[in-house]
This record gives sequence, structure tokens and C-alpha cells, in this order.
Amino acid sequence: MKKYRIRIVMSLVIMILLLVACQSVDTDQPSTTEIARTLQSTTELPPSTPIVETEISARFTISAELSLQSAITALYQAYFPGEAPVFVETNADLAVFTRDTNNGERPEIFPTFLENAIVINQTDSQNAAAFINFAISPEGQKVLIEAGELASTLTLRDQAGNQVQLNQPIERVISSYGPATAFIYSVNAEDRLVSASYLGARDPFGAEVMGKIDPRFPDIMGEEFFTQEDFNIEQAASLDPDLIITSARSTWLETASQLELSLFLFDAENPERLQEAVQLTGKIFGPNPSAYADAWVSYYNAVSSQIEEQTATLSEEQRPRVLFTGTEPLRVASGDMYQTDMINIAGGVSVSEALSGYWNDINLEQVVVWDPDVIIVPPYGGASVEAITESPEWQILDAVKERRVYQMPKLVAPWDTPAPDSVLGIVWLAERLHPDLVDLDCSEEADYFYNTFYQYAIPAVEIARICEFE
Amino acid sequence: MQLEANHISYGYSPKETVLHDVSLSLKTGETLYILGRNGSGKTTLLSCLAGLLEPDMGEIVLDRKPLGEIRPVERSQLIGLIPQSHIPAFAYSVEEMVMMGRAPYLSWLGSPTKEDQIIVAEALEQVGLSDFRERPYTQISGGERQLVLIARGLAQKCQILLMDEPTAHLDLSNQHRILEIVQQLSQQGLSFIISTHAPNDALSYADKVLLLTGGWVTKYGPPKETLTEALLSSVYGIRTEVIYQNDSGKPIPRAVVPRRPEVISPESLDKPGSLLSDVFIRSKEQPQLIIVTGLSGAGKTTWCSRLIKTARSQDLVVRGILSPGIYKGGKKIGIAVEDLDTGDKRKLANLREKGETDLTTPRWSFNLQAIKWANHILGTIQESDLVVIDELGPLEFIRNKGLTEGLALIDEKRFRVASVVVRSSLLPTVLQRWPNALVVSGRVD
Amino acid sequence: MNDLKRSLSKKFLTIIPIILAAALFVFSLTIGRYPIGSYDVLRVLISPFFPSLSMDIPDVAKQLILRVRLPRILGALLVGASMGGTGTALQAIFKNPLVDSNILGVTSGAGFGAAIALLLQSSPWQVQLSAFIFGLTAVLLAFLGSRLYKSTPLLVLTLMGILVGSLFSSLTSLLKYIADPLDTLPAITFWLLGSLTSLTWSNLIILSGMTLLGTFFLWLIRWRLNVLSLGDDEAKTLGINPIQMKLWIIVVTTLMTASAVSVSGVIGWVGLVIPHAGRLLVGPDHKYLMPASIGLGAVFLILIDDIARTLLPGEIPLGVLTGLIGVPLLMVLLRRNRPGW
Repeated sequence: MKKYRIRIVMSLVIMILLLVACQSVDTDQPSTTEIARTLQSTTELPPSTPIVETEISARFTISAELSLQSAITALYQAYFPGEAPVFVETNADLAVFTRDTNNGERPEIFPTFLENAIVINQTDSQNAAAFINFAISPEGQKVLIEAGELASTLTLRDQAGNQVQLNQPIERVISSYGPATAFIYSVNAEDRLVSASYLGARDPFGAEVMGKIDPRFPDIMGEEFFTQEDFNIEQAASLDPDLIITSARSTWLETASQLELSLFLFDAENPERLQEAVQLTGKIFGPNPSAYADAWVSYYNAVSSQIEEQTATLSEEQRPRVLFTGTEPLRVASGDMYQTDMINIAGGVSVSEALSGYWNDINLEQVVVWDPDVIIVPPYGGASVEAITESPEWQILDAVKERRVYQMPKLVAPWDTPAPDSVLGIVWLAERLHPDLVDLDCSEEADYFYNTFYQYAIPAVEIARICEFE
Repeated sequence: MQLEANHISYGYSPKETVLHDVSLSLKTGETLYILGRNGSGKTTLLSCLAGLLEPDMGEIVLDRKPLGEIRPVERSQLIGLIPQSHIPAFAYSVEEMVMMGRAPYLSWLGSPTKEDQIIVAEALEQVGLSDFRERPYTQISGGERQLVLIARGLAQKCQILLMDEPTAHLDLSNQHRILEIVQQLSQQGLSFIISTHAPNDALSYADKVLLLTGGWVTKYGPPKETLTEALLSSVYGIRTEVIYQNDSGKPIPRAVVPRRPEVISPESLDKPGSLLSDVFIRSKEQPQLIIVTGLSGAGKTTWCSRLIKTARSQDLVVRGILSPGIYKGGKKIGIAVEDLDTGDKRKLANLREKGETDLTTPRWSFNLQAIKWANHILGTIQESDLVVIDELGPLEFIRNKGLTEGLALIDEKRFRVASVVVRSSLLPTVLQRWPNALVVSGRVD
Repeated sequence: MNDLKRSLSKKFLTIIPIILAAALFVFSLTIGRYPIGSYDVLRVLISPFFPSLSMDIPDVAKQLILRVRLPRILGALLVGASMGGTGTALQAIFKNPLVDSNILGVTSGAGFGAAIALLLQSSPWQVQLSAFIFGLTAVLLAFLGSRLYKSTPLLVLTLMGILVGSLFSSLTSLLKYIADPLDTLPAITFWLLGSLTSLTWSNLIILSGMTLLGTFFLWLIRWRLNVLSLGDDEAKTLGINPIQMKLWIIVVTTLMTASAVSVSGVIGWVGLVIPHAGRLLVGPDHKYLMPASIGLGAVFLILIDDIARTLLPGEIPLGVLTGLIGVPLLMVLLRRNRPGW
């Protein structure tokens, strides 16, 4: 009897010690919040908080449409307290006017501080640039909200059908869904991220590029805490987010909703939903991100239309048959997946269209039955072209014998995922499938896309690497 | 083929020695029976002789060659072990089972041949199971299964067959069948070592008998030397009796049975010439112990009173104690103890609820002083004509407390005639302690 | 039915599964999603020796049969035969008709080995090697563990096998939990469910070597399994060294099973059901049961694989089919029962 008592007491003591130990674990490491804040303060962007300057002088002139002047005034007075803007008719340093939605094949995007209201900097003035940054930043949004120019709350319907109330501006966001993170970057709202899950940033090359795109990476990578399966509530609470963006298929939604966290769900597996998702992202974050979103949608549609026009003469049978494989050569994309849509837009036909669900496992004989003209291998999961081209069994196929096996490129996000980068995937595919008919150039489009939407001056050598014709 | 075991000892673990210094020998055509209680080491001995276990001490020698030095394959061609029949995991046919006896003759990678099939058929014929060839082993009777195993042993073509309790679980006719076959086979030159629980089998069929008690050899020799009442009683721990057949003038032992106590009716005390009425006469030569038992109630004590009266009428000295009950409203609430010499009474026991003392049984709580007083009385008795002790119970026989002097008195035989009252459930224990007692079963009116 | 069986000699009944396996092998070459006529198949088979006969058949068809179908069906035959044989042998030495080839944990260990390799993004042959090695490791662990206890070694060995098997299963579950749900996890899951898609001539060589040698050994010692199944003591008195024999059998069956599983993934149930079906056909005498089980195992798996690769455009995992088909099959067999096992 005595022996048991001693054992029970020892166990209790050990348990108490363990609990005490757990308490003291976190205090030494800085939390992600602190890291994020520190990094934010060391970025190169001009500060978007008001500067108090000792010198009072007319900093720059502004020409603005009447309807926009009150908004500009509010912004100016907030940024330069005690001063008033100087409006002129012509030769202004800053030009403010309304503009219709960004159209065109390669839309150019200008800083947008209200819906359809842009401001163009026509000088080199640092002050002017800083003012513009302020105008489109969350701080600027707050000023405009106070001035009644922007709504203070926005109710949007997310892609799971929920009506989500969003208190503008949204400044602190956790994204636990890779594609959503990509949306946020491409609408130029990445400074609002406090923690994010990234597509394609796990391999060293992708991580390096991401680091160049966003200096805060990899510190704000949140995969330890937030994934589609797992959500660390404590960590989320400590980051104090305004909004959590995730996939409608996350498994922890019930728990999160019970804790009254603000959630916005995305579920985009086809082009329409993808475009809707990007536009919603734009709206969540304000006028400037919205402008980017619209521009991207426009770009996507332009690319799709161009391909459609240029391949219009092809009949169904003439379209190349494409097999899109997955992480294994015999694991293929189903008809429900985004890859199939991309193939269709690029002017091809997916041989595995009849399959449903997610990735499907098949056998080689089925591939022979399908007899694809082109085989595409994805840029993730260890998949490689050699796995197919160097396998003796696959030599049965003409596509393999003639080396028409290509690997979908990626810079950070793979170009076949339902993310903004996928527009390049479509371009690349079209280039492969219809080199004679479609005159889109992967290098040109990549250059435009990354410069515009990621603000990344992609070096020519990288463009060549990812666009190279195999 | 001569098998010898010399001073075998074996223990399953260092603390647990099961066989101590066992020696035996077996000649061609001999049948040796091993008898003993459960756990006396019979199966272990057979396992050692079969080569399954290696003795810790001593050695087993087969035709002058130590068993350990004979290759297992060769050994199994010479000695076979026929276990108690059990159900195997798969329903092999009788023929397939017997065929397994040919294993010692087949190479590692070989299969049975036509020759083996002939041997198997012959073996089956020898035990009379030729018609059973195709029947599943799992579907025949216990006796038939045992015969199949014997046939397997025959197919093994060994000289010596060891059998572990072959007649256990068998009905009379099957037992007989097996033993007769064994007899025939031994006449054909096979030697047998058979362990059994049936001394009568040994009586009828054994050439030699080995008696094992707790792993030690109690006796080893021909049946008439080993199957005696005394030896069997000591081996099995109960009184046994050998029944003889007197036909041809010379008594031949035919059977061994446990001896049951002879129960005498209490009335016969008054019948002249009966065992009871003559008890005082016989007591002149030998102390006579009467155990009085039967239904609870006033019967036993009453009968003791009658015995006392008879004794006193013959002017005999009566000593001892009686335990009359104390009744209240028809219910026994206490026990008194009465000194037969002085007539003094003390209260011996109360119902347990009324008070607990250190000496209790489930129902009664005993007065320690009264016990001491009674013990004193019994302790001072020397060579009385009649001693009456009423009563000795589990407290005395099992816990060795209470009227311990009464036990000593009887053990030491300090009486001519003693009458001890015990409850009927204790009778076997009492008879084990005092085997020669007369038993009076008290169903007194 | 029983009368019919009795009148046919046991030898005949034993040969039937083997002949059936061979016939099914050839027949299965004509089955597949790509349409090829049976006559054409035969011509293609002869084409390595008489090229002229198959000139008109499209090259794709030829390659398909020789490079894809032939190794795969051959693989199914070998794996099935292997499982039938090992299941029978293990049931004999464990004296238990409910024993599967995984009794000592080899399949669970192999599953773990494959999962680890897949997690580390290894090449297919590395996955196979890892599966093979961990399969052997599991059995070794079970064996070493059982040596700690001297009494009732068979029971302890069974227990250790179950424990080690469970240990590796739990570890595999852990790996599944931390695996990337988009690519690694489906790969692991698919491997654990078993399939013969990865069978090519290159990995067939080792599989066939192990299987043929092992099956030959089991066939040679088949009669001795009868004696072993009675128990160690009886085996000893009948001149057999049970410990040595069991050791050999465990080593051989482990190698056979590990090499089969490393190629085909986890296919359960076959080693359990096939010996039972064999017993219903030819009885428990291993002299006939062993070849019958080997044949029946081959037949069963070839059939299952035919369904797996032909029924749907996608590949149906073998483990799913062996259970779905094997269980009702066994229930039907049990109804026409022959008493006992």
C-alpha cells in the first residue's frame, strides 16, 4: 500500500512540475507580432503616418476634379496638420481625377484612393510621393472614412456564402490559405499581413525570391500555427487580427466561429470563382487594392480572349490532348480541378476530364488509351519530367518519345494553382500547345505580371529560366 | 533394447525441483507403470525419458548409450511418446495423423512414399482402426483418438513407447481395449512405460511399478511389492484396501479401492455382541476411539450421555467434557462446558453478536477462561477408562486453537475408550488423522 | 459437392489451382482498358521469337502487352502465390487458422518504411528498399522481443508480433498526420492500400527471385508442416527440431512477404483466406494444401488485379478489393462447409 502512495505522489509532483515548465516556455522568444512590427518599421517605404515638418511651405500643387477635392483636402490636412492643399488648374505636381475601370490588355495601375479616383505624381518630390502613399494606406483610409468619403464598414459575401462585416480599414490579417496569401500580395495589400501561409515558398529557391519580394518574409510565415487543418487560437489571439482569411475547406472553422473571430472564406477552383476571389480581396482592403484586383481580372480576361480568338479556327479534334499529372506520374488531375480549366482556356483538351474529385490514381494502360499529345508535370511534390521521360514503360507513348513532356513553371506560387500567377500558366500552356497560332510571349507577360502585381523587378535571367522552352 | 534412468533429478526452475533422484530400468518387452498423485512428476519423468527435457542431474541410457548423445532423429526412431489425446488445430484425417509417425524416417525435404503408406495401413490394422482411415481425427471418440495416437507410435516403429495417462477420459470398454492392445504389443516385444491414475491397471498389466510421491521414488519393483495397502495409502494419502480373489486357493490381488469408513449406528450400543457394546472389552487390548458425528443438535451429546451411563454402570472411570447447549426460547444462544468428573459448568461460548473475544468462529465467540479451564481438565487426564470430548471442531483441527489438549489427549492415546464428537463435515479430516477410529453416525431419535 | 470431391483424387484437386493460375495468366493478358483481341495478344507473346507474325499489330499495343501488362500480371501471380504460401506456412507453425502473413508485423513494418521514404520524397526504388528493410526489421524486433521470455515461446512470439505491428502502424499514422496533405499523404495512403501499378520488369526481378526460391522451399517442406502444427513437444518426439524449422520458415516467409509488400504495397487478407479456401478444397494435409494454396493465391490476386486495373479509368486499390471480394467469398465458401478447418 505504501509503495502505491509514494508512486501517486511522485506522479502528481511530476505533473505539477511539467505544468509550471509549460508556463515559462514562451516568455523568451519574441512573438510574431513584435517581429512584424519591428520589421515594418525598418522597411523602405516612406512612412504613412503624418510627418510634422518645421518648415511650412507650399509643398506641391494639386489639380483635382471638384468632386474629389474634399477628399484630397481631408487627406492633406491629416497628413500635414494645420495646412491646406493648394489646388491649381494646370501643371500641378499631383493630378487627381476619376478614371474608368482599368481596362486593356496590360492595364497600368495608378494609386487609387477612392473608387475610380486616382492620383498621379508628375514630379520627383519626395513629399508628394509620401503623400500619395499616405492617401492609399490604411491611415489614409481612416481619414477618408472619418470624412465620410469611404464607408466605415463593408459587408461582403464570402465564397462560402457568409455575409461578413468588415470594419474598414482592415489592417491586421492572418491568412492560413496559400492561394489567399497570393491574392493579397497581388492586390498590393501584403503590408496588412501579420501571419501568412505561403504557396510554393518551402523550397529554397521560392523562399529566396519571396524574401526579395517581401522583406518581412520569412518572419511572417505562419505555417507553424495556421494551416488548413490546424489553427492555434492562442497564437491568433496574440496577433490581434482584424480578419482571418482562409479556405472554405479548412477543418477548424467551427471552433473559430465559436470564438467569434472574423473569418473570410475563399473557395476558388475555377476561373470565375478565382476572379471573384481576387476582386473580393481587393474590396476587403480598400480602393487601391480594388484597383489592382480589377486590373488583374481585366488582364486575365484579355489573355483568355486573345487565346480564344487566335485558336478559334481549331475544331475540337484539332485541339491538343493534354495530360496533367501530379506528384506521381500516375496521379492525374480530375475534370473538377483548376488545371483542367487552364488547359481549356489555353486551347487544349484535358484527357482526364471525365475523372472527378481531386487527384486520381490511374495506371499506365489508361494513359495509353487516352494517348495524350502533351504531358504536363507540376512544379511541386518532387515531380519531374525525367520520371516520365526516362522510364522505359512510358516510351510506349508518342508524347514521351517526342519529348513533349513539360514542367509547369513557378516563381514562388506554382503557375497551376488557382492563384493570380496562374494567368502566366495559361500563357505558358498556350505557347506550348499552339506555338504557331498564339502570339503571346511568356517572358513578356511574366515581366509585366511580376513587376505590376508583385512590385518585383524580376531579373531577366529568372524570366529566362522559368519561361525557357524545353 | 534396455532403457535405464539413473538418479534423475529435474527442476523447471532452480527453486522448483520436480523430480528427485529417480532411477528405473526397462527391458525388452517389459511394461512399467508409473503411479502417483497429480503433480508428483509423472509427466515430467516421461518427458525426460522421451528426451524432451534434459535432467539436471543423472543420466538416461539407452542400450549403454546416453540419451543426450543420440541424435534426435535416431532417438525418435527408438523411443516414442504417446501424449494424452488432444484436438489439433486442423482436422487431419486418421491416416494423415498416423502418417506423421513416419517423420523420423523422412528427410527434411521429403514426402511420404508408398512404403510409408503401407506401414501406416499396417499400424491402423494393428489397433483395429482400418475403417477409420478417412475419418477426421477431430470427429472420432476419445478412445479412438487415443488408439490413433498408438497407431502413430506403431508407425514410428520404435522399440519403446511411453504413454501419458492413456486411459484418462475413456469409458470402460475403451480402457480395456487399449490395455489389451498394449498387452499384445508387449508380448510382441515392445516395451512400455505408462503413467496412470488407475492402480488397478497396474495391478492387472504391469511387470514393474514405480511409485512417485512429490518427485521422490516411494517404491520401485514388481506389483506385489509395490501395490500394497500401506504403500498406496501413503502415496495417495487415503486409506486403501486390496481386494483379493480366492478362487484357486491362493489369494490373488484383483483390485485396489479406497477404504471407506464403516459407519455404525448408534443403537447398536445396546445390542449385545455389536462393535459398540463390546468396545469396553476390546479396550483392554487396544485403545478404542469412537468418533461421534452426524446431524447437529442435541443428538450427539445425548448419545455420549448414554455411553457415559453405560460406562458408569460398569464402574468405569469417566473423564472428559460435555458441551450442552444453552437455549432460550428454543434457540441455541450459547454453549456450556461441563466437567464430567466434578459436574462443574462454565459458559464456553456466546453468540458472536453479543460480544467479541479473541477466539471466534463465524457463529460463536469463545470465553478464553472457559477454554483454559477445559484444556486444564483434559490435560490432566491420564489413562482413563472412558474419555469423552464433546466437541472438537474446525478451531481445533484446522486452526489448532481452542481445546488443543483434547487433540493431544487423543493423539497420545491416553485412554482406553474415547468418544469424540465432531461435526460430519470434518469426518474426512478426522479420519486422516486417526484412521482406525470407529464412526458412529448420530441419527438418534 | 463432397461426393464429387471425394471421387476426384486429391492430387487432381491440387493441380487444378495451378493450372487455373496459368490459364488465368494468359487470359488476363487480353483484359485491359486498351482494346486488344485475344488472338493478337497471343501473336504478340510469340513475337520476340517470331517477329513476322505480329507485324501488323500497332507498336503501341505490342509495347503495352510486353512492357505494361505482362510484368504486372506476372507480378500479381507471384505476389498472390507468395501470400498463399506464406499464409499457409505461418498458420501451420502458429497452429492457428486465423493467422495472416502479417502476424509478425512484416507488413506493418513495410508500410512504415514506405511512408518514411515517401515523406522524404525518395525515388520509387528507394521506397521499395525502405519498405523491404523495415519489414525485415519489424520481424527481427518481434523475434528479439520474444527471446526475453522463456515460457510458451509461441504465444510470446505472437504477442510480440502484434505489438510490433501495432507500433509500426501507430508510427505510420503519425507520419500520415505530419505529411503534406496535398501530395505526400495521398501517396502514402495509396501505397498503404496496395496496387500493382508500379510493377515493371526491373522490380520484377527481385520479386520473382525471392518468391520462386521461397515458394520452392515451402513446397519442399510442406509435409513437415503437418508435424509442426501438432506442437513443439510432439514434433520433437517425432524427430523434428521444431525451433530450427520454425526459424527457417519465419525467415523465408518474412523475406517473401517483405519483397512482395515492398512492390505491391499493403495487401491484407489474402494470406488468411486462401489457406482456408485451400483446406476446403483439398483438406488440411499440407502435402496437398501447400501447392493448392499457392495456386489459389495466384488465381485470386490475378483476378483482383484484373478488376483493379480495368473496371474504372482510375485505379482501384488492391487492398480495398481483396477485402470487398474476399470476405463475401469466404462466407460463401463457409456455407458449403466441410466441418473443421
